[in-house]
Amino acid sequence: MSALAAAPDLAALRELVRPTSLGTERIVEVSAPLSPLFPAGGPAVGSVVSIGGGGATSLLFSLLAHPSRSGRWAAFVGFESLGWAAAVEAGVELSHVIVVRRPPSSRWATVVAALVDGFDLVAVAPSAEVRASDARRLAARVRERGSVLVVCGPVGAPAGVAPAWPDRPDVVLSVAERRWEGLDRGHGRLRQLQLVVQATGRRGSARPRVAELILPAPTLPAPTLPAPTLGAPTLGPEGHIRPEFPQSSTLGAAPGAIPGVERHSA
Amino acid sequence: MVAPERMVAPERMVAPERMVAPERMVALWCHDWPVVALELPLDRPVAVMVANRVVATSPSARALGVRIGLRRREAQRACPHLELATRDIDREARTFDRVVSALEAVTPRVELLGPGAVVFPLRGPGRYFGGEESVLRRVIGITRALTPAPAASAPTAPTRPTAPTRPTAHVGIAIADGIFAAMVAARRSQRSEPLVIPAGASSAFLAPLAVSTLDRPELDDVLTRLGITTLGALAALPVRDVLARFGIDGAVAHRLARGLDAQPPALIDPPADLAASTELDPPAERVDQVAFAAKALADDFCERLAVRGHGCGRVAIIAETVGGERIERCWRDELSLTPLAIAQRIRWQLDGWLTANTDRPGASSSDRAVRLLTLRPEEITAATGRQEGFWGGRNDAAERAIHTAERVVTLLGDEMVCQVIAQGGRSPNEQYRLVPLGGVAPTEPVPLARGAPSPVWPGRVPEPSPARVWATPGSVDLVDHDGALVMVSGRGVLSARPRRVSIRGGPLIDVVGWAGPWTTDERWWDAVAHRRRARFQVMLADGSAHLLTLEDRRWWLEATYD
Repeated sequence: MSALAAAPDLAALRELVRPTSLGTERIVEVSAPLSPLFPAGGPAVGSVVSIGGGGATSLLFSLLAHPSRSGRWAAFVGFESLGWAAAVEAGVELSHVIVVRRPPSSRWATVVAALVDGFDLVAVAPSAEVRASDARRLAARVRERGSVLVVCGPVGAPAGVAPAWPDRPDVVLSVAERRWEGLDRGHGRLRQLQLVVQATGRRGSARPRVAELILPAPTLPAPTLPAPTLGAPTLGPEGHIRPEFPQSSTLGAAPGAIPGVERHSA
Repeated sequence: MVAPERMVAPERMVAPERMVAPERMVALWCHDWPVVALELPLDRPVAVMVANRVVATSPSARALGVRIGLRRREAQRACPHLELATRDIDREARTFDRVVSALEAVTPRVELLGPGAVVFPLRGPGRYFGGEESVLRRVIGITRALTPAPAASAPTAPTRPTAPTRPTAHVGIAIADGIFAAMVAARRSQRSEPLVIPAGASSAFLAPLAVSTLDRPELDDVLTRLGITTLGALAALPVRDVLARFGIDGAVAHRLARGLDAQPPALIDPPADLAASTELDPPAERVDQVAFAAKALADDFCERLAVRGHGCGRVAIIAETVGGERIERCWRDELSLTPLAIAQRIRWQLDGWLTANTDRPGASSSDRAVRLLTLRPEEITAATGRQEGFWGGRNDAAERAIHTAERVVTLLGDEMVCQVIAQGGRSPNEQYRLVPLGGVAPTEPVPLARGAPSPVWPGRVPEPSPARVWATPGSVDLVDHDGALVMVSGRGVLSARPRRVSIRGGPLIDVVGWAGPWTTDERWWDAVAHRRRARFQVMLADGSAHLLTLEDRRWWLEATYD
């Protein structure tokens, strides 16, 4: 038998003996805008992901939204102050969420390790510095149990600053750019957040990847927000339609033009 | 009139209730078994906990006001030097197995309800030994001779002055018509004096007892509010009305209150082909090796019953060993056993047996290994239609998550593990609330969770909501061009345009965008809860955006759009 005739078999054989990489086969699926950040389309089961930079919380909610709606359970550990309304708006299913208040630092690693056993996603906000040995042990546990540990940095950390995590995470997500739309000097309101997220990491994630995230996710094809024009009716915080005047809040404006002065009863 | 029992079980299987009185049963109840099994002293205040709730106490803890169902903190408030232990139900079952095997000298028909509770019908042994007294004497003799745990020797009351300092457990023994009445009587038989309820007097015995005896908390509450406080009052209600108002569970409670069994006695034996068995190859020498096979077997068994519309109220678990020994135990549940419950009972039974036999000299471990496992239905009932959740009940992920969460509760205390519940409100911190896990069922749907909360709260902070809502608002200085604090007048007029802001005493950062004031005047009718606030959204030069609040002429950082 000639070598040429054997070639197709060789290809098949190569396919057979190629090292199986189980890690890339099992992923936690995330929403479409975030999937370009991960080589396999989502964080691999058993990996450690860190999130940092301004806007990290919004990114965290977006990351957990799709898994929580598809029946996975998420635990939040040690976050002082999360805006659950924002989580729901991002699409997080709260009935699949458990919140653990900040454990004492002596028990921190034990609690997180216990949660890794039963939850598909565990988001942690480490308060003090985590010991390197604890971090390594947790990473091993996460790998063994097939969970995903999401380490979230503090609020207000500048772009590119990763959360305090002694071990090197598998994927490092950081908000490179953040832009709020809709708010001007004295009028408008925050309407849309645009985040440019950069992912680096180890192994398959070593090549930097970038994704753009728009929150709240536009339902219509990319509505460009027009700057509020004089007298254009916009939806005020009170939920009524009212005319909006750019100069309305300045000192010299007529009192009737000041928005939101009507008295509300609960 | 349609008798409700027809709905519970098909007519052909069941005797008309007036004709068949419940069988006369002997019941044994080991008081404080979870404490005794852990070999904890009964004369010191001890509480056994599960998921941060007290499930059993020692008599001295009870005397100090530690009741079952209290949280850890409440129990410790009642008794600061309370010793706490985590429940080990496997150990309870394992230790209890000695009692069960000893009782087999009296009757072959011992039925286990759970660790610490056992019943058997009086009929056979009564005739064999010649009367109730004779059987009672023998049972008392057995319980006396047994030391169920090192902590418990003779069943004497710990309060008796002559009692030695060594703690003792006591066993309540009772004879009555029907399992429920016998068990209630056994639980009430203090100081190990057997309580014999004369034939036909079970309903009279139960009548003055509180409805809480039924151990159905949700029913208990409603009945008490309806003014039905005793079992007698419940029994006096027409069956039809109880079934119509409370469903199957209420009908069962009604049967129990009347001194009947939860299910009418079955008159025909279950068909033999419903038995399920599995061969273990290689034979299992340890319990954990059986666990998976047990669950699969129980699933198969229940599936076969379910296809025919049956549930199983009493199941015999038979294990055969390589050495040719046969361990058979009969387990009973009030209604029907779930696959999980059967698998657990298989584990308990084998655990107790395998552990007991390790002390036995002579038998080699390979002889003791379990070769064959069989489940035989002893009493089948019509499936009562246990309603699963709309999405098929809790799935594996949910079970795992809830179990894990409960473990974290035991690590940290129950205030620390919470669930998020939507409740509505204007401020970002009012719209959702963290509720400790113990308070709600974890899969309870959150009614307002998706999208905008359905009731519109006029004046609430508009979407998108801030991703961080500070539990303790930080102090903020919002200053104008001249460095003076920006103020809002009573009529909502701004004193000057905001120019720079310093958050939590940090450096002054330029404001690049702002909106406000959005004023709210909440609960003005209530002098204490009245809040008058003006909110601002600000966007800073560093790209961050915040929600600031002006209240009582002071600026606060309420939330951050992170």
